[in-house]
Amino acid sequence: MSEAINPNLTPQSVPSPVPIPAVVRSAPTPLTPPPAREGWRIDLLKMFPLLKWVVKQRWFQFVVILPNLFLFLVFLAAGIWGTPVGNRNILIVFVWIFWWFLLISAMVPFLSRIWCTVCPFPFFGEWIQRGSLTTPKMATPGAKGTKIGINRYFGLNLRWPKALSNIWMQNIGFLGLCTFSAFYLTRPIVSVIVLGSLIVVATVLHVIYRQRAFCNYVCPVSGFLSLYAMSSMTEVRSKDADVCLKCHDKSCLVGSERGWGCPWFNFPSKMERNNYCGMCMECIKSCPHDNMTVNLRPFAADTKLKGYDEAWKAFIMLALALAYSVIYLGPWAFFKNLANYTESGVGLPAFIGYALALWALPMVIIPSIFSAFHWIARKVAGAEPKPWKESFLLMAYPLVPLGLLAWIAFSVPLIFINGSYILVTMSDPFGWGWDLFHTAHTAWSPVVPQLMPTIQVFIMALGLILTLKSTFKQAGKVYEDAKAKVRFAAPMAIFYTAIVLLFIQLYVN
Amino acid sequence: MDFTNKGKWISAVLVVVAGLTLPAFTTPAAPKPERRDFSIVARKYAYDPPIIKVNQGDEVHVKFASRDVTHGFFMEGYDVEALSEAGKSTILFRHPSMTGNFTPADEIIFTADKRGKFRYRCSMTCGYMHPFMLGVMIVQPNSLFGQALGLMTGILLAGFILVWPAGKITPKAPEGARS
Repeated sequence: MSEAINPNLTPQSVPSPVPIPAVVRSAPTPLTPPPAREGWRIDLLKMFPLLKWVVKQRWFQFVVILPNLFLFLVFLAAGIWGTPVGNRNILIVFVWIFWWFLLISAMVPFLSRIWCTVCPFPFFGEWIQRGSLTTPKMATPGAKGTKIGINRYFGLNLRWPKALSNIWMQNIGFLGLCTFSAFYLTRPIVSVIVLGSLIVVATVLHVIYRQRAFCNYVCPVSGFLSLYAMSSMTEVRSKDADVCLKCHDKSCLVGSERGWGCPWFNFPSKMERNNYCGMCMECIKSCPHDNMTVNLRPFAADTKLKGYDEAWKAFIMLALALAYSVIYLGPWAFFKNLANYTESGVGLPAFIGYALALWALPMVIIPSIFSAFHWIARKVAGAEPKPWKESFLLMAYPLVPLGLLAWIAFSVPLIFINGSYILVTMSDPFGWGWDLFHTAHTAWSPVVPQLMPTIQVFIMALGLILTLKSTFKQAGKVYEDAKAKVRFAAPMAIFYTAIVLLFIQLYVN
Repeated sequence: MDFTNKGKWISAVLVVVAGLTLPAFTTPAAPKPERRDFSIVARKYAYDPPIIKVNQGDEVHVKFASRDVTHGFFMEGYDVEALSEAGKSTILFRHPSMTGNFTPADEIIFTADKRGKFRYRCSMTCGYMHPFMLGVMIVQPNSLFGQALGLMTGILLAGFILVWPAGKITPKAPEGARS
């Protein structure tokens, strides 16, 4: 992802009288309509007028963030002053069991980046940056602050460095965090340090850099949300490309008195992927033609990875789903001791070895195997292929539905087995002996634990169906010839099936 | 994919159904049931041995002991749970769905009458990694595993059936050849 490369982040062309935000001014291109969309769309805002009214209110995002922020601060307090026993502390149970399950199994597949709508991390930074909780500030003559588009912002408002305008930082950050997962998943105080640091970093970066630079380029959660939102069944898009073509205001980009210019550096009227849309709904508010909406759409409708950074994110997520299935769902003391090295006493050198292996798997091993299969596929296909990078990125896309379903398969046992801790910590969030809702003494009671392998098989089967469907579809974009397409797809399909069988081995045997 | 070709779709569905069901019929029956004895030692955050294998119908006897703190032994799908304090030879045992009360016992006994993979989990909070402390019991024949392999292979083959180009596949003419 790059401000200069990613079409989502360039203005495409904005009529010159309109003050364009400097951040998206770099590469104007001829005005063209967005590409035609595949599959059906249902305009949810047309279908549910009340929803439309709600998202168009200036207070909308503030009102949905506020309770979330309050809960988040309570969780942090529980992490600091509550019991250090993870499964008795609301921070650990609600964030790493309940929230994680909701995020990966419901929000991302069905509601895209709706989490970003309510996320508390950038709250304070954005407040400082905008100098307002709800109402957009206009860049009127003599007003204080920096003019971006026709809105006004506070802080330094520097441009994010072009060299870092991709998701590599998020890839590295997420992998780094996951290296220490055994600590923050089980120790409340470590979770406080991790989550608290994210709020601090987000606030500082909002003061230094303009708009949602933190969310777009740094936030480790945002990285995988951007990838898996491609699969989601909802999208924010323009209704009619012609209306956007004729629009001279470009309020979705530059802002207006009704809404801020897109804080995610998108040009919403030309948006063709979910990846970097944080669903803040500002474009829906700011559009003077009522031409932006939220659509329901088929699963996995965005199919284009635009750079190696995104492909590697897919490798990282798949590899971690595999590694976590071994460490946390497997019976082997060896891996648990390595991940939890401070308590197990295996020593720092052993942990370093573990970390190196954990990094090598997604950064080198899986991409190398993928590349080998991709090379074989190009040889087997016979016909003149597209350039390596283009076909590599096209064929890496099936990792998106595969990875998402693998994560769901991994997460289902977490909630079914440990869900009763939610009831306990609801009543006694700090582990201090409270019983607010008379559920504090709920016994640990796994729900249908014996059915977990069967459920996981069906989730992985659905994942394989979606993966193979996209494999064959993507192969058709590399080769037009039907036979070459099948020959090209065959090794890749076998590769993906082998990965699914690996998960099956872990979950069922 | 050719969504209009009924023949292809029927073939694809048949392949998937065959993949899912055939292993269930071809799985050999379990040998004659017998008594199986295991000694399972628990310590933070794993069991030793981590995996036990039995045959369907076997009577399973588990001597359960903890080496460090109090650990639990909750066998999924079998309604048995035990607790073991470090250093004690006797355990506390119960059927969670029945009385809910623990009674002293020497060992855990149950009949492995259901096939498949079952996890035994620690049911007593024992430390940071407690929620991830588990072991595995495989009750053979593990027909779900065979069916899962068959299902995935069937899906792969069905995919090829659906995308295979219609009509005869003719060898590619050499370059420069006259048509």
